Amino acid sequence: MPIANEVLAYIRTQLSTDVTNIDIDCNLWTEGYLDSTAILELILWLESTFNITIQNEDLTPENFATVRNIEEFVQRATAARAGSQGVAAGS
Amino acid sequence: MPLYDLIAASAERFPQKPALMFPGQSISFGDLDMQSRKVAAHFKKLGIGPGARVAILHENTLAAVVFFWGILGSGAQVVDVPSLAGIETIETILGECKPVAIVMSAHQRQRLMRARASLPGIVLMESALPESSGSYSYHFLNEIISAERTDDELPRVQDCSVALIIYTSGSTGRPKGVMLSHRNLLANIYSANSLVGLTSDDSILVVVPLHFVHGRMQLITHALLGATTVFSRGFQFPQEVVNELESSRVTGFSGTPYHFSTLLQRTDVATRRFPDLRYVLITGGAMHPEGLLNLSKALPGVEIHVAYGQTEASPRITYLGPLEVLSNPQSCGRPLPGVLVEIIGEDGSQLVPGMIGEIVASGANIMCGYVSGDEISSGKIDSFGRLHTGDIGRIDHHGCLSLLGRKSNLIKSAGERVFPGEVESVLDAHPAVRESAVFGVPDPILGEKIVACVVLEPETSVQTDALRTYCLQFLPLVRTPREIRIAARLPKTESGKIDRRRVEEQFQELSMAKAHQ
Repeated sequence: MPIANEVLAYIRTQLSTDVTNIDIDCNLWTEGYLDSTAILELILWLESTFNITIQNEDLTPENFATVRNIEEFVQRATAARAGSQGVAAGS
Repeated sequence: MPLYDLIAASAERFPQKPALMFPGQSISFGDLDMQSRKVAAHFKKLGIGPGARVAILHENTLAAVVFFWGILGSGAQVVDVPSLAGIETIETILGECKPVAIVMSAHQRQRLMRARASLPGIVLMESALPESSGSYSYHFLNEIISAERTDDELPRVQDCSVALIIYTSGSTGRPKGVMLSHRNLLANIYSANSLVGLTSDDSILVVVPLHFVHGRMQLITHALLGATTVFSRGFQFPQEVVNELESSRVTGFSGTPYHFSTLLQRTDVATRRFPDLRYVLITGGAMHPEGLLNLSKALPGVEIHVAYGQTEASPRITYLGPLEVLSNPQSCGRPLPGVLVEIIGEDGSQLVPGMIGEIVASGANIMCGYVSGDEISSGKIDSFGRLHTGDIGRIDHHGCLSLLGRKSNLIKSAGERVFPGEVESVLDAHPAVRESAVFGVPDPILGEKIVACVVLEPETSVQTDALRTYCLQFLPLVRTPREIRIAARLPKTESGKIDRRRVEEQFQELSMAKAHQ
């Protein structure tokens, strides 16, 4: 789970040092680990680290509630990017 | 009148009407009154009543609100502890206030226990935990509700007695406990609502944590009206908030410029229609005129109200109605009925309209004082009982107040008041940091972004990311610098103090140069 580990490390060091004991299925928001401004930082970091674009409509609990959700979202976004680059390269 | 009477009166008028709605959970005014009275009865058994303090360290949940009203019903004082505060800050607050009991969520309990924080002997929670034992006396809401009887004879407290203690940022870095009486809060609610004109048919969507005065006032105002308070899942997913605005069919929404900027920039709010939404209220800072215009375009037909204040004023001082908001976007309005606003010069003399000086306010809404007792020695309250806001402003010839700056270096980020000294004292304690300067730079969403310039001790090195991690051990994210830069030296004044203005200028110049590269 390299993406999940990377996301966890980022959250633990740059958003809240309180999250040392959480697992990847823990809800980051309802448990009160992170405040609302954290999401803005998190998406900027995800965009630059994984070279993806996050649209407003992507900002949902389904994509961002847990570290596992975030990992799956990043995997889908990077796969979509690779797919579109493949199409562009092939065209 | 004690604040609890608001719930009792609304329970009589609207027993079946939803008082509070949380995702998947709601409670009527009748049941809220009944459950809160049981909590009050339980407190009485524990010997907790008028004069005692009970802390709340809890995320927004139905149980936390029942405890809130139960504490007030018992005659005790509520101490709101910021739920995202660091352990050290929480211990400072509890050490200063000395509450006899604390209401906590399971998450808060877990992190305080892990840090071996010292807590009041009585701990109240929503429901039992398998491992809740040890040296604390635990009490659970579900057990209280099934075991207690409704105590009709609630203790009567004086209007001037403290109802609520809210912690706000202090200029020295130590949080300040603002003591607000039943009278302070009611005076402000009645006065503000005489202008905003809410009724029992209104309802509101709450996105702010209840430990902010702004959150508490939304709750108390709607209790007075017999109107429904709807709680959002939180502001972390702004698009969800837009969906909630639509699905909950609330008539009102209140937030800081940060909330409205985020909704405008990160959601489809401008393309949606909210037939039930009647008004929005902007508090906690001035919104940029362009933002106001965008908001009015995004929400056609929705009234925009603006209020200015601070926690020490319970909190509202001035108000600007929807007829003037767009034509006078620089203004934050006229004093609320019963509030006197003056502009004073450096020598304390009152200035005439048009002149610029410090905004001072007086009236029944001004706090009883700080828990620390230094409201007069710190100059916050003067010998006339006036509140010195620390904000610089001007009153025009129509009686409208404009905010023009701050007397102190206060930073307003995402609606939070952050004093640079608080952040600098954390940074300066890092072994590799010789000195630091913290300030705010304009940010399109946060209002101001907290930035730090630090000088390192000779022959040391530390990554800025590591400095930020260090800060997060003591400060919540919203008070932590978003950007940290290492500088060779910081410009000083002739007296040897850090020249904050020049540090800011240098930072801005560097940022501009970087942007042009």
